[in-house]
Order: sequence, then structure tokens, then C-alpha cells
Amino acid sequence: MGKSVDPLVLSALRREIQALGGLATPPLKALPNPRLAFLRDHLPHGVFPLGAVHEFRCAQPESWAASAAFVLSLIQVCFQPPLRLVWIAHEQPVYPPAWSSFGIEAPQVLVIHPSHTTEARWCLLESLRASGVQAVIANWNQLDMTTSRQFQLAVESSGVTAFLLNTHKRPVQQNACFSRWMVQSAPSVLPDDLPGVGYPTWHIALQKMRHGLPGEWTMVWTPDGFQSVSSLRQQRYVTPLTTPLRKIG
Amino acid sequence: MRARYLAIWFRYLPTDVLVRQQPHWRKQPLVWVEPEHGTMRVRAASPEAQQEGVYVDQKLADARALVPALQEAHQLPQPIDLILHHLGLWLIRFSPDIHLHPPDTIFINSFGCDHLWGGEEAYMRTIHRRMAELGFYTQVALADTPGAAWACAHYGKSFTTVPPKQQKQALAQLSPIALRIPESVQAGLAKLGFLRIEQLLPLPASSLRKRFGEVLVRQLHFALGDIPEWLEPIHPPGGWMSRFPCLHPVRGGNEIRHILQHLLTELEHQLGSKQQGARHFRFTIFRVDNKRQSIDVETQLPTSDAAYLLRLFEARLPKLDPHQGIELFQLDTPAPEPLLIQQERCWTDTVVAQDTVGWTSLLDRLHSKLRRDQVQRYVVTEKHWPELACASVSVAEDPPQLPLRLAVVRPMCLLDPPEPIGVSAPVPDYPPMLFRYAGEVHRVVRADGPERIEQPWWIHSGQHRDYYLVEDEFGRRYWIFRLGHYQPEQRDNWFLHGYCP
Repeated sequence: MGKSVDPLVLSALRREIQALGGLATPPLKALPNPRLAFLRDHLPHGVFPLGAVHEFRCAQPESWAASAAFVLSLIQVCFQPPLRLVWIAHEQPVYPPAWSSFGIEAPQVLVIHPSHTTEARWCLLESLRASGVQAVIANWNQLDMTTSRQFQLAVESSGVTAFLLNTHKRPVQQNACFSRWMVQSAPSVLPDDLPGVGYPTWHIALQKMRHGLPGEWTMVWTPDGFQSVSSLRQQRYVTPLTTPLRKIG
Repeated sequence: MRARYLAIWFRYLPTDVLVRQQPHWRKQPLVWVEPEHGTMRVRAASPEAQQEGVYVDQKLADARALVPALQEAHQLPQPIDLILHHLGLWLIRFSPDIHLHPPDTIFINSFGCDHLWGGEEAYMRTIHRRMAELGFYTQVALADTPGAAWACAHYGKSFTTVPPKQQKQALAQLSPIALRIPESVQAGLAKLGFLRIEQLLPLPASSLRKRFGEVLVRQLHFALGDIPEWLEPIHPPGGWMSRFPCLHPVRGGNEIRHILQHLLTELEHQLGSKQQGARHFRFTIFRVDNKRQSIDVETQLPTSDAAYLLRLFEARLPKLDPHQGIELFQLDTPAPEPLLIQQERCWTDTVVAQDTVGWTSLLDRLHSKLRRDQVQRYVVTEKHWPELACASVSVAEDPPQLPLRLAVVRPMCLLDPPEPIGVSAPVPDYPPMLFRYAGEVHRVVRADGPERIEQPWWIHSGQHRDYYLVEDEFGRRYWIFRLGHYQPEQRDNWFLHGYCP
């Protein structure tokens, strides 16, 4: 075997290959996000890929809710305010009061209600090409190779991050999305086996990540960010939820 | 529609303008001269010069011989038509309907305006006084038709008010030249002894037309009001409009797009050169069957960028129906406003500038294709009732941040209407042990609640809801409620209202 190669040269070459493979802005200066520590080893360079299309498979309405919540928490972790988001509410209504639990204020999101699929595709493509948008969330069922390639090419030039919630029940189709996730609710955990419902807990399956590795986790979304179930179990105290007893209007 | 026309005759307009420019010429014999065939001829003379015997078209040398102290000007500060246009714009404060009649007259349609100044007489005197304060000598007259008003202002007494439908009596004693006819026609009339208009009135129109031409009959009809005289009003400053007439009717989509592009380029050139833009644009087509259609485009920021506007218009162009053809295209914008200073190219790379431009252009494109209510932003309102807890706000402006922060869980989507579920709830005011929805039985493992929310009684009455957040054995969470109080025998008052993450 020949001489040892400089690791810097190797990493530079890898970045060039990744740029060809669809990572629009190779995160040369980006540092791994400490709030996504559990994902670090599975992401390219330990950094969540922005400017890419991410697919979330959620055939059931329950998993749709879990996926949408996970997407919002990802956005809250990955982006700096002021946030400018677009939500294309095609075939699935949205309920803005739920977003504040995931650090997203309702006015930060532009909600578009297309009347049919053709209009939804036009809205989605326009939003993906707009430079002032940070992330786009959309329900999208027909995610075949052609469509996903179209979306991926649009975001590569604009740098917008797209989160597509695929509610179709068909088996997995090959497509050009950067990653594929499956997020489902998991039984919540409360310290000391207290009664009541705990923080949102999800079973996150990363089925595909280009230049990364697949993996599975069960994570809890707390006001401090993601925590593993075991670390939450070790905690002794939880902040009690204070709710007024009687509400009118 | 009824109309009352006030004719304002600026009798010494060129010399008045010169005096305004050079105040030391006031009360001096002053002439405005221009060369004609190698000779300097008088084009306009001040009243003082005219008193000395100077007249228009006189040779300057003759005038100098007549009045040794004659002051002469070779140039006006602005072309005479432009001066008249500026005066017309100034007069818009008296009526919105102003018409220019070059070289020296302005018509004002005073109908519905004069009472604000205390009647027609006071209206005329106010205008006359305001013009005198500005240094313009005017003669004014008011009549039903522009022709009659013009005749009375030029050849009658100043401040003449012709009562409605009395043009015939008012004009009877005036010379036929007051009908705005060429001098050759007037000379022919004088030769035959027609010295007053009343002599023309009994004659049949066909004889007059035969002997003196169409112009005399037409001007007589205009003055008497038998035929309405069409005058082009001047537009108040502010709006921008451009038209594109077509000799042959246009039907093809490509041609329409091309003409729109041409008009937009003109807009960009004219408004852009003044650093102006607009937020609202209207493209109107006038079809050969006398129908018109228009499409509107609104932008978030003032703009005059032709390529950008063309993209916005393109989404709506298919809505235009050329039918048998279009003969006139019009692009107008009501209120141009200063362009927000665009950053130079090298600065648009900064994140903030790029984001704002990208964001507003996305909003523009969405608005150009979708209905208003399809693009929305929401705020969380200070209401507990779930259906009322959010409201849509203006897309363009950032809404004020509400201090309300509810530390409660809400579902990611709200079922509308709530879906009925079958429950097994043996203990009063406790969450159910299990519930059945869509053929599946969910065993409740964990639950929070009840969270009682009552109807806003000041809006509508109804039963309260007791909400529970329940989690089944797989960790799936549901937001369910019981309508009204617990009743052991009643099973149909439980509903699923949303899916929680």
C-alpha cells in the first residue's frame, strides 16, 4: 500500500462529492448542533442538512400529528429567529394554537390553502424557490422520483429546507429526497411513575439519510429540547402544569 | 348629465407669464416677439403696449417706432401649452373636471361645485380674484355649453352668467367670430352682411353648410348645445396610464402578452426614471363589442420592474377573453409612490435584504394566483373555546405579539366537526377506560384532565365541554371531550376533537 493520505485532503474531496450529490451548501463552517446530539453520528458531518427535501412517512393521522410536531421541533432547533415558514395545508387542516408548544409562534407561518393538487404543486414549487423562506412544510402524497427530483433541484438553488409529510399508505417508493423519516408516538414517561400524560414522546426512525446512516431513537420533547427516555426517567422532578380550573369563552 | 361650463380666458397670458418672471416689467409696454421669415414679429403684447397701438403680428420695428420705451422678450420660460396645463392642474381645487382649450382658455365644469363658494357669481369672482393674485388677467363667463361660455368670455362682458338653456338669447347680439370659426369664414359672413349670430339662426343648416362649410354649422350647434361638444379632461397628477390602440383587432394570447410587455416597459421607463413605483396595477382591454375586462395585480412593495410585473400578470392573463378581438389596451396605476431605495446589487447578498425581497415577491406571486383567503397568517387569540382560539391576520404586516402563553397541550389538527366515539367511562368525571373510534378500540393508559371549557355565553349558549388528553397503550394521544355533565346511561356525548403529538 502507498503512503498515507492527508486527512484534510480526504475530507475536502468528500465535501466535493457531497456537493455533487445534492448537498447545496456543504456546511464547511457549520458546527454540529448540540441540541441534536443524538442524531450527530447519523448526519453528514454531524450537521442537519438544510437546503434539502426531507420526507416523513405518516399514513395514520396519529403519526401525521407526531411527524408534524417533530418537524416543528426540528425547525425550532435548527433555525435562528426571525423565522419565516410556509405551511401548505393541502388536504389536512392545521391548528396554529398547537405550535407554541414547539417554539413556533403562529404569525411566523404563512399558511396556504390550495384548492386542488395542481395548485398545491405550484404553491409548493414557488415557496421552495423563494429565497426569503427558511422552511416549507407540506402534505404531499405523490412523491415519485420525478416530483421529488423537481423539488430537490428547486431547493438546491434557493437553500430552502422542505419537510414533506407523505400520508400515502403505499409501500416505500424510491425517490430523490435527501432523507426519509418515520415518526410515531411512543408511550410517555413520567418520573417516579406519576399519573398523567408526560411530554411528547416519539419513536423516530431515520430510514434513509444521504451521506449519513439510518438509525432509530425514542426521544422526548421537553421545553429544554430533545431528551432520551432514560435520562428523563432519572429526573426526580417535573414542573407541574398549572391550568385554570374553569374556562369560559 | 347636466353641466355648467366656466370659460376662463387668459387674455394676456404670455405677457403675464413674462411679468411674473421679471417683476420690473409690470405696467411697462411689453411684447413677446418671435422671428418669422427673417422679420421679428409681435406674438403677444401687454395691455399697456396695446393701448399705445401695438397689435399682434405687427413688425417689431414698427412697434418700436410707435413706442420707444417698448420692452421685448424673445422667449417664454415654458411653452405656452405647458403653462396652460399647469394652470389647469392648479384649478383642480375648484372642480375635478377641467378641460384645456389652447392657446389661452380653460373650461371648468362647475356643476355641483359652485355652491361650495356660495353660488355661481361668487364662484366666478373667487377664481377671477385668485388668478389676479397670481398675476393673470382673466375674463370669465358661465354657460351650459363650452361654446357659449367661450363666446361670452371673449366677446361679451366679463362675469356673464348665461342662465340654463338661454344660450340663444345670450349669443344673439354677438359677432359670428364668437363661434370659434376660422377668419376666412367670418370674412365671408361679413361680406354677406351677417354681423350678428341672431341673423344666422333662422337660416336652414343645409344652406349654411353649402355656402360656409361644415365648420360653421358644427360650431353653431356646439354653442347652442344641440350637439354635445367632446372635451378631453386633464387628469389630476398622481395616476399613471398608458394606452396601446390597435388598428386591427387582436385576439391571440401571444400578442396580448407582447403588448402588455410593451406597456410595462413603458411604465418601467417612465416611473423608474422618476424613482417611482406603485403597488396596484390594472390592465384593461377594450373589445370591439364595446365590452371591457380588466385584471389587477397588487404588490407588497412599490415596484416598477417590468419583468417582475409581467410574471405576476401572466398568472391572470388567461382570464381575459378576447372574444371577437381587442382594439385598445390600457395599463394604469392609481397612485405612484416613491420607490423604496433598492440596495445596489452588491448589497443584496446580505441576508436581510435578500430575505425581504424574496419573501415579498413570494407573497406577490401567491396573491396573483390564489384568492385572498387562501393565503393566511394566524394569531392565537385570547379565547379558550378551541374553534375560536385562532384568527387570521394581515399577511403583509407583522401582527403584534400577544402576551398570552397557554401552558396547555393542543392537538396538531382539529377535527371539524368533532367525531363521535364510543366510550366506556364507569367513573364520573374521570377519563374513560377505553374508547372506540373507526372500528379500533383504544385502551387508555394515561390521561390528563378534565379541562372544562364553557361556551362563550355572550355569543351563543350550549353545553360545556370537559376535555381529556388520553394516551393509549401504543403512546398515541387523542384529545377527546364529553359534552355536558356526566350521565351514566348516556353514551353518545363523547367526541374525538384532535390528534395530539
